[in-house]
Amino acid sequence: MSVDSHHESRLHSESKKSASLPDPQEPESGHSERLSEKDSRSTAASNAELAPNGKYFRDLIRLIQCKICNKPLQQPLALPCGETLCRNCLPPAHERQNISYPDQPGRRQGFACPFKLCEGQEHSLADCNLDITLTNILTQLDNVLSPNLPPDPLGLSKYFTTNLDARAEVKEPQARVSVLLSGYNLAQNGDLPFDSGFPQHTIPDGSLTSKTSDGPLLTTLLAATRSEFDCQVCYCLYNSPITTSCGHTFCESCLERIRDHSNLCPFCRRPLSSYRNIITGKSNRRLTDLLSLMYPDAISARKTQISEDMPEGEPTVPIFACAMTFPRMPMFLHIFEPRYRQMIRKAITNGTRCFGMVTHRQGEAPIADGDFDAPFNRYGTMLYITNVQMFPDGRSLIETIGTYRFKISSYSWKDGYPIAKIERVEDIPYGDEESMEATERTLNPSSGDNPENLACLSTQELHQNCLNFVSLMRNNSVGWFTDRILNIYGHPPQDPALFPFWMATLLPINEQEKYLVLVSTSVRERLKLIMVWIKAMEQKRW
Amino acid sequence: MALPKRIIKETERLVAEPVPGIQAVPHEDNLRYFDVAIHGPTQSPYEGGVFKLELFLPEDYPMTPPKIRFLTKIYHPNIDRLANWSPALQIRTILLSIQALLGAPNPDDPLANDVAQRWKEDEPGAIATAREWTKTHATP
Ligand SMILES: [Zn+2]
Ligand SMILES: [Zn+2]
Ligand SMILES: [Zn+2]
Ligand SMILES: [Zn+2]
Repeated sequence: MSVDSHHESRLHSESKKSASLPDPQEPESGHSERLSEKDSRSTAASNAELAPNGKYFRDLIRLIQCKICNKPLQQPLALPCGETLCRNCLPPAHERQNISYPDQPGRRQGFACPFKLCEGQEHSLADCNLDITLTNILTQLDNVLSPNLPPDPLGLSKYFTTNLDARAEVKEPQARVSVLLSGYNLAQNGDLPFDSGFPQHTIPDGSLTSKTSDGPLLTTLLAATRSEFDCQVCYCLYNSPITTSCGHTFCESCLERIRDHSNLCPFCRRPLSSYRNIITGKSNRRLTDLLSLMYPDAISARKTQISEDMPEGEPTVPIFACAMTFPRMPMFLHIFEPRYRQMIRKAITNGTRCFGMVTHRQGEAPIADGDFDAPFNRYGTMLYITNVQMFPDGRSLIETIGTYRFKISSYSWKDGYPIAKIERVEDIPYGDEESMEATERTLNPSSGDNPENLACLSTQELHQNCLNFVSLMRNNSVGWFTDRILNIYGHPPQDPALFPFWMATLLPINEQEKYLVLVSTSVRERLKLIMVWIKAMEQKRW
Repeated sequence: MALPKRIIKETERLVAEPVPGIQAVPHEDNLRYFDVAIHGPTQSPYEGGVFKLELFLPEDYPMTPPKIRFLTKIYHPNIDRLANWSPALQIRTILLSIQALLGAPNPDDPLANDVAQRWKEDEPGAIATAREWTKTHATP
């Protein structure tokens, strides 16, 4: 099917009035009452008839300014640390050394992050993509403001109060100065440093409440940008917007739901990569701040609605302590105990179709579990029920697929089985994965006398060595990788992140060893664990 | 649980700006159920026919696709082969794609059914059957 859906024009329910500025020569009409700073700010977005003060506009302009060039962002790139800069303000790129995973176009090009938070840390160019939502907002904003800027830049002087003693002028009809327009113009010319306020002699901070120009302009602006802040999955205002490495933005909760079903962006179908790598699991700061500045009422209504939709307290998931399983791997279960029959029936009827699978604890608690004290282990895999076959006597056969890994934060018992509050277990960001590889390989340039030294191998080589072992075993008709098994579990994944889960599902290794793979949040570390198993098996065989 | 905003908005839009040749009406007692009627595109073997479908939005829509079932019998090689679902798609786009498939049947779809086989071997015959079925089953 080739119907292109998301490029259809969207319905804009908000009216798009064109902004108009009053003639600067026209005398001030009788609106002279001034709002207190607090009042004006809190009603700014809900009732734009009343224009907010200079600080409001300074904050607004700052949120669209680049910290590097001070101008309104041009082709804003979202960085993995949550910062934003213009494409042209990117520092020069260099070739990164000793990294092999993830082997994606652009990942080998890197630059030192210019922002304070990162202290010169390297980012991969591939992690910095055009922030599509912010780009659309900037375009809408410019469409509203630009036509109202005076044609001749010098003409702007009319809009400024050049009198240095601004306070004395406050009662005078200077209110037709458009703070928003003059601020935008200053920023465009690069004359408004990111950290400074509006220059005192041009716009007296906090003293202007110009109803005649800024009010209608702001109303138009808010209407024009409003639909850009809607998540295209839930059609509601963004709630904790997260920008993915492909540049698309989703509510955090929507992104989590997407990832329960697919690893691809719904819009561009590029891999969503590791969740934490998606702006390191941090909300898009610019979008979050713009939202709370521009639509404070709508955002608080949204938060209220979300908390009302949420069931009492934190959500819990049912836990089934049975067998070791991994993300993306199918598992077939025969459900006969009444308590688990009830658990499965509930999962089907409430529509979640999910439950958490953990293993029974055997002997000592694994180190990863800390002080977690339960008859089962702390880490497990969320299973999604893909198929159910019910028998007349109440037993059932279910087919499931592993979705994500989780860690139990707390649990209690209900109807004979545990219910738990959980946190997702996500892999470390790509950037950390790469620096781990680079450090190990720099310290271990070659295997030297020790062929057991895995640290000198690139992550891709580790994966390749494992794949070679699988082919060798297949050629030797070793029972773990028969066609029948591969029909069920698929061929060895080409994705180094998933490969260890496949291998751990198929190899006859004890559960304590497999648990190390389950809890590991580094692809490289997981591959090394598998390599250790392989070496041990090879030694036994020869 | 309350109906998600997304479903409300999609429904509002389907009603306010209907797709030409497609009617989709939600059930009054279950707003996740739609009665759909698609008019066969002109110059296709389905011209003149009105095809009735039911469309259901599952609990985890839009994470999982709408469930669709043809109520009217139809002779078509790959009408049951809908695109890879993504939450970026909508009810509207799914219905449009069904309409497009009526206009351009594709028997080369690798997962098509036995109608596809006949379509490949004897296209004029298959088209004639599709016309006949349209007349018998889909003409009001
Ligand atoms: Zn810049
Ligand atoms: Zn940074
Ligand atoms: Zn959303
Ligand atoms: Zn995308």
